[in-house]
Amino acid sequence: MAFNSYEFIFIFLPLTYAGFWLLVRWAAYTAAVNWLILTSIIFYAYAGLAGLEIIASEILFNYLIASALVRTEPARKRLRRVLFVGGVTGNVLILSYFKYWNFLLATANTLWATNFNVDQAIFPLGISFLTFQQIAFLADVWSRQIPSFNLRDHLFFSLFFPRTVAGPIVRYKEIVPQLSATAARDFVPNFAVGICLFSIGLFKKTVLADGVAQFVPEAFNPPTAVWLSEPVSLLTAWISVLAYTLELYFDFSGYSDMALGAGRLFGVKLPMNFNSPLRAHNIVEFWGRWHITLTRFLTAYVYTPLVLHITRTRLAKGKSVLHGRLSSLSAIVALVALPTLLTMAVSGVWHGVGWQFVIWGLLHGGYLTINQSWRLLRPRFWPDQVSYDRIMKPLGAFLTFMAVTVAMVFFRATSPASALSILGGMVGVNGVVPHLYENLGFGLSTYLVNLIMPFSWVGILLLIVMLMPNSLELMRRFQPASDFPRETKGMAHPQVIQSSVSVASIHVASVTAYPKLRAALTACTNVRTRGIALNGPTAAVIALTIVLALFALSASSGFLYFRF
Amino acid sequence: MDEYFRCFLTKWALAGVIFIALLVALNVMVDPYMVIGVPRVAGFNARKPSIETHTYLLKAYDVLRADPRTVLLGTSTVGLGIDANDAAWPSKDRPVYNLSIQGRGPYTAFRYLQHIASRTDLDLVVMGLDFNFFLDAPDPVELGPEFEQRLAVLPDGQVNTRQAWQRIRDVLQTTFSLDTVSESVVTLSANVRGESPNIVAGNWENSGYFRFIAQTGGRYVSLWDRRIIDLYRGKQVSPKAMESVKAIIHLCETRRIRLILFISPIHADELEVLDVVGSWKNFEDWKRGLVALASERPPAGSDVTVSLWDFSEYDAYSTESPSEDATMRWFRDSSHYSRELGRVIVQRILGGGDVHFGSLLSLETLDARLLDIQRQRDLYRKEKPHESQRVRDLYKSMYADVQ
Repeated sequence: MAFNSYEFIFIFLPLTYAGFWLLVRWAAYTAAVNWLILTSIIFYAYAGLAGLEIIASEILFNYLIASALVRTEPARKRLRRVLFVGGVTGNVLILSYFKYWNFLLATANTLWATNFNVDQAIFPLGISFLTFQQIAFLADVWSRQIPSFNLRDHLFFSLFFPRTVAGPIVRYKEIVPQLSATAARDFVPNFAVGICLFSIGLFKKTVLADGVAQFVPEAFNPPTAVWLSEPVSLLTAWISVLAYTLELYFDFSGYSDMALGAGRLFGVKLPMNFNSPLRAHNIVEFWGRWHITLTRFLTAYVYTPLVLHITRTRLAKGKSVLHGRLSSLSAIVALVALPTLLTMAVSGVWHGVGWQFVIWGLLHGGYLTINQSWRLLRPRFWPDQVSYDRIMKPLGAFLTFMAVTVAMVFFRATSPASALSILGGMVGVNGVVPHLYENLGFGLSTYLVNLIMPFSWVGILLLIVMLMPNSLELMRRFQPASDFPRETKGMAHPQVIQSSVSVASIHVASVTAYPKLRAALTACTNVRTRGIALNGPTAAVIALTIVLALFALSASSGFLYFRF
Repeated sequence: MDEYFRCFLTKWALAGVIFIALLVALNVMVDPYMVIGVPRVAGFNARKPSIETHTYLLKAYDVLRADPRTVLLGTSTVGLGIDANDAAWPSKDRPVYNLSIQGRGPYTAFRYLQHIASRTDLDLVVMGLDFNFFLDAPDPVELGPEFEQRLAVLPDGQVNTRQAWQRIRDVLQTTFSLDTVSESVVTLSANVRGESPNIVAGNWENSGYFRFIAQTGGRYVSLWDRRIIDLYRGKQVSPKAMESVKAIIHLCETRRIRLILFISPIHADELEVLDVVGSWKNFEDWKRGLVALASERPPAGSDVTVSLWDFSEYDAYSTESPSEDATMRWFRDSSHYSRELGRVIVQRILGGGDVHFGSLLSLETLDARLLDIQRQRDLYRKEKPHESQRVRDLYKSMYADVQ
């Protein structure tokens, strides 16, 4: 059941909320939690009973492993390790089978002319997210950060419907301690904040993401008929790729807001998963803002263990490790490039089935390696931090945006060959004006006139992305996410907010000649640092967003991240 | 603290209701898809540009309101080329409604005919037959389940019990829809300007497609030739499409509705394409199949006649060359004839008009007719060798492997 469906918005969510409200008010809080577990199971079952069976089996498997880990005495390290490794392996095998088995068979058919049936495994909704969450859970139990738990809490943690299908990938300690009757009884504030987040998210998805999506197929799914087929020209390629970047951005951003909003309705604050990543000044910061909980998982459970292992091995062999600006090339290759590329390859494979996703992951691994290495070595070549920031922050923001956009070509393309063809179009190898226009006697001017609509969509959305406060910033005063600070001072992620504010400052400084624009940008900056009050104008704007979003439901497509 | 949020939620709910009311009022009053049936007021909502994109939706409801005695079936060739308001239609057969659906084949035509025939007493059905819509086309899968549910009867003729529910869905989906808001704005703008595509008695008036062709100064015509090469190349006649024609004939015979079928005129360029891609025999066999269907004995008790006309020939109309400004009088592209030629067709099938244009087909006259067209073809190639060669060269340029 998609968040942008009539049945979710008008049936499932109101009924679930009404049941929860009644139970919290008139019965025990545990009954309300049980109700949420039951409705979450219904939410899953709606996508197919076969998928529910697999998900239920995986949750039960992890519950048994984790229970065994809890019961096993800490002194029996070997057994605990066997249980943990077995649990993780089991999760990886489950995910591999349901997500990649068909792909492996198809690859075998291609390479060795075998004749395997490639429709053997179904793809349970949200299994990628659930599997990573379960692995993190086992790791926390193994490291004794979770000393005990019960089946009800485990089911709630695993199934709570706002985050089941596309994240955020939450940790047990972030969710279960929030299960308290006190928080749940804040009905009115939770409803107000939840509805604001949900409205903004739904608007992003149904109006913005689905609106700009109409320009994506021009390059990615061009006509195949001989009479119309032609290589993708320069502007068409750029518009398609930018449109896809923005579609994915608002799709995922919208889903993340709706997840936060839906969770908040029930008094649960989920962690933030998306925080204006296209405003990042470098690719490291980008990954701290895009799919934040996945980055956190991969850093904690793939990247860091790899780096630690390689560091220890190198130290044992007497080889050099990283020493800031004096780091050696071999140390950078072994301790930056290798773990980063491996981690991002995992990220690529996790995101989708196909070689283009591996390339996408490796491309980002390459970006991150360059970024991390430059961070280490930069003081050697450019010691003055002030001049570096002045020049490289805006330049870095532009380079990061371009790098992300280019990688998106692989993320969306149907094959690596198709991606390369589109990249060729983006650098102009196929000319500026499509042959179709030339054949019809139309020149560049007519072509540009026809591009006004897509240019306008892309331009306006880019302005929204770069300049407007995001939903977390807007709702800052009401703590929209469990790890998003109420104020800019003393916040958990100072770097993120700092850079976000500094971008706005740069914009303000650069438009001193236009007082009204400067005032508008200053107001934007103020909203981003302080959030908004829930007053009359806010009520009107939020009402308009939800009404427009609901009116756009009939033409809305599925969430892109649901397929990962 | 709760009061702060309560106050916000009250304002939010009030504003939401106001916005919903405003948008719904706009969509209902403009009624861009004609689902609700609001009266058409000149300068406000009379013009309906959505005829270009939502024909199947508009006509499902509009035809019931029109309560016609004659319906025209077919594709865009009929929608653009035959005028339901033509003076040639006899008064006893009026009102005439153009129920053609662009881009859809005989199955869709059959289903819409069933739809209107179940609600009104028709006297006459006229159907244009386009060969390219009989070539293994996946008609009507793309229209989705709403297409079937919207019509008054099921394919087997039983009453469609889901129609009322679909009507509610259509009203809700077009009323509470951002696309409809956008289309309402487009409709208002078109009515203020007084110029846009429009639907009048089902006719597709002032089509953007024809304006586009005119803008290209005739260059689009050669591109269209490339398209029809792809359309015909390697395709076979779909038995399902022929069954739909048979079903239309059967429906008319059992309901005692006169039926006139006509094979659409196509430009000589397109006839040449048929030969070049190796589909000439298919084309002739298709005509044989149609004649066989039209000549089947009607059910006992039915005195209805089925006429089948053939206008696909090399004649003064179809061999027309583009003028200096690259436009043609009788054709817009090789498949779409002009409203002017449509008038000649209407006159001819009703018993008047140019007696040298087209021919009534029957089992007795078919072979002679096919031979006659072949002779016309040979003559055409002698008189206009460059035209014929141009089509061959175009084909070779598209498919280099072709000898």
